[in-house]
Amino acid sequence: MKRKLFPILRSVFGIFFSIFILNSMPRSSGLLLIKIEKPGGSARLFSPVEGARLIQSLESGWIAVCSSGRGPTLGGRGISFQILDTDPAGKTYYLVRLPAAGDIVLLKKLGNVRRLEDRLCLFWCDRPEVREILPSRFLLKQLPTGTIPLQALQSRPGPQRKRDLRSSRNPIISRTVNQVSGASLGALIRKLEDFQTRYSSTPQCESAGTYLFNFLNDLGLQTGYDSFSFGNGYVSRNVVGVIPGRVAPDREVIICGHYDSFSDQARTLAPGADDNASGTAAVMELARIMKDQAFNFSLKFICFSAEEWGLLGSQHYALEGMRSREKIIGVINMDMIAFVDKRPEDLDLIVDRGSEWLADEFSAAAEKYAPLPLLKIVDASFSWSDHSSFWDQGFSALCGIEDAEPANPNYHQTTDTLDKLDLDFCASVARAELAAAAELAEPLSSPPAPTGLRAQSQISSSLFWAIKTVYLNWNSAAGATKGYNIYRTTASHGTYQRINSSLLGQPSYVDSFLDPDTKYYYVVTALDDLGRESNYSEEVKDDENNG
Amino acid sequence: MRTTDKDLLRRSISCCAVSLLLFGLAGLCVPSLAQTTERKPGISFGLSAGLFYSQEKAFRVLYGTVHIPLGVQLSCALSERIGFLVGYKYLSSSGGTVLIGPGFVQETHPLSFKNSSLRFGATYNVNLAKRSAMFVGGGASYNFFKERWEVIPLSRNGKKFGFFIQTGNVHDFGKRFSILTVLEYTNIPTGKGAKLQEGVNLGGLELALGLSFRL
Repeated sequence: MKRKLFPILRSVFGIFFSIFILNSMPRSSGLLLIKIEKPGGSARLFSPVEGARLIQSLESGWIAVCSSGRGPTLGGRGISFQILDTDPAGKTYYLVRLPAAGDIVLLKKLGNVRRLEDRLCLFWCDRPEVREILPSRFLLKQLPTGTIPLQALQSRPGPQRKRDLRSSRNPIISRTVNQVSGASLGALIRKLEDFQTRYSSTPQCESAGTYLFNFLNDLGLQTGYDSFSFGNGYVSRNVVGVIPGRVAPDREVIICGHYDSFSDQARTLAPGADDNASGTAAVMELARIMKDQAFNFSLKFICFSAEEWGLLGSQHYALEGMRSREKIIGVINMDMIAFVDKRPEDLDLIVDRGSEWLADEFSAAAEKYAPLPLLKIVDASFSWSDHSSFWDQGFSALCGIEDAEPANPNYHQTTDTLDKLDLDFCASVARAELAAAAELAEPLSSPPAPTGLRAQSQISSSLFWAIKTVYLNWNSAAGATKGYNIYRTTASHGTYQRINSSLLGQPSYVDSFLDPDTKYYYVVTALDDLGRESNYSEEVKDDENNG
Repeated sequence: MRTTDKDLLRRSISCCAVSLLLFGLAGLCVPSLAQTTERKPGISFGLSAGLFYSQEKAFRVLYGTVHIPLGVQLSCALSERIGFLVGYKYLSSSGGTVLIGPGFVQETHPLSFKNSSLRFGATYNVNLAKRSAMFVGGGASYNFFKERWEVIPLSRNGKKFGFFIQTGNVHDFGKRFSILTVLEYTNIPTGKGAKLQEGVNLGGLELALGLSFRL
């Protein structure tokens, strides 16, 4: 009996053992997480690599997912890359910037680490709440899971405006800039600090969100929540207030900052006065002042949550913005703008290459209306604040910060309180921010820019010649209007040239004898009785309304 | 609207061949009139006016269907059957532009068109009767054309070679005068046109009536 039983038991054991071994072997998804090195240094923008799905842009390259078979192909094409993980399916990765290069030893004790740049690492572990286990001075961004849209990899042109708008001071902006008050900012920071902690996932953070909602709502803005879930079943809310644009409300300028905070005792005490009650207070102060002014384009005031968890709130918002094809002109994100470690303190403006124009616009506006020392830093790897979520979706965004390398000794500490801050510096930053946002959103000076510009074109031909004729009309501008000017260019949003020799009395124009093979783009302006010219209307292509 | 040059050329040549055939048959159908010729070598001078039908649809759309070209011609009969000719033909017309694609506002720009044609060629005569002969011929032309937009300063001048083939009938009356009836096909390719027509050919079919005087 025993002789018969033994081989059976041995076979059964063998089958179970095989199943156990097979089950315990790592199962590969057939994907690789790789870092593609930027060719020829960091200056070049990206051209798509076939077969690699880019998920994060860095100054030195891109993090991408590709099939395991693509790796050798990329290498064969001379594309330098390193494999970061051989089985990325289902994992959540984080970009972590270390305070010092040697801190990687500490990071390795907490999970899996791959060094990407000098102090920049890729990190992943089994825990869903990475913020909870990382030291407070480690900067964190959750790696987006979606593919970077192509426009995120290309340079993005800034909006075109009339030359005189660029050079001359707008009295409306001058007036509003002067309304920014350091005392008001201080009071707002104090109010936010009074929540004790605004660490996302805590009730106090949600109370702060409700306070911000009520604040913006009471100002008369169109206010709403943008809710999202994160971590181990937590829900938090971004707070959004809108001043709708009068001419093109679908185009928007975003002024934002995160209102959540963090410290090594985050669940009970994280005052976060500098990080980032200061930036949030600037958002609130600008909303308070700008609500009384009308703009061509919409202004959105957004207070993001869960930034400290890895930019989760802004990632949710920016992804939705990309999916719903929001026309975001530019994003101005302020994060830590009230601590001064040296005098004169400068404001660092962090941009990626596609957003350089935005830093230039900010600098120009600041120089005109609220001069302060500025330092433009182009660094696609600077991913530690909410602007980065917009870069990932192809929007132009900048981050204003007192020091790109945090110099505030109270950073992420329970001692980050109002009494350590310099409200004069905070106010000067808020003034520059207001000026830049106002310039981008274009205050409605009298008269408003014409709306409803329509263009139809037709071609007349003989045997040997053909000409294009473009018929333009637009809505009459409200109020007393002296007339209209019409501008034309052959490149969309290029340099517009006025084509009418004398002021147009009627809201229509016929542009004749044009080359039939060239595309023409038009904008129109209105002049009031004092001869003041409006901003440009929306641009139309010559055959936009041909049907 | 757009047709290729080759198609047009093929269609025009077919038209012409049919016309020549008809004229030839007409000549052969009157054998009873055929008699010994009295036609002698010499030089004659002729004037003609005709009805011109352009082979180009675009031309007809812009300038109308039928036009009246005027011509002068110097002919030299080298023998009873062979002759040479040099001549000049002038066509002038006016019309208006047309819209290509979607049109929202009716607009027409007035146009004028002129074509001057210097031509030389040879004819072969077949006598049909004592005072009547049929001929076929052909030759080359050098054409000066100009299309002009009347209101705006747009115009196109061109110089192009072409060719013509013709058939017709000469009927003598009196000692020196003859009446000519001519059916002629001309081909004048000009190359690239505008939006309306990719390649423009200024040729077409012409039925002309003329008076000739023997010097």
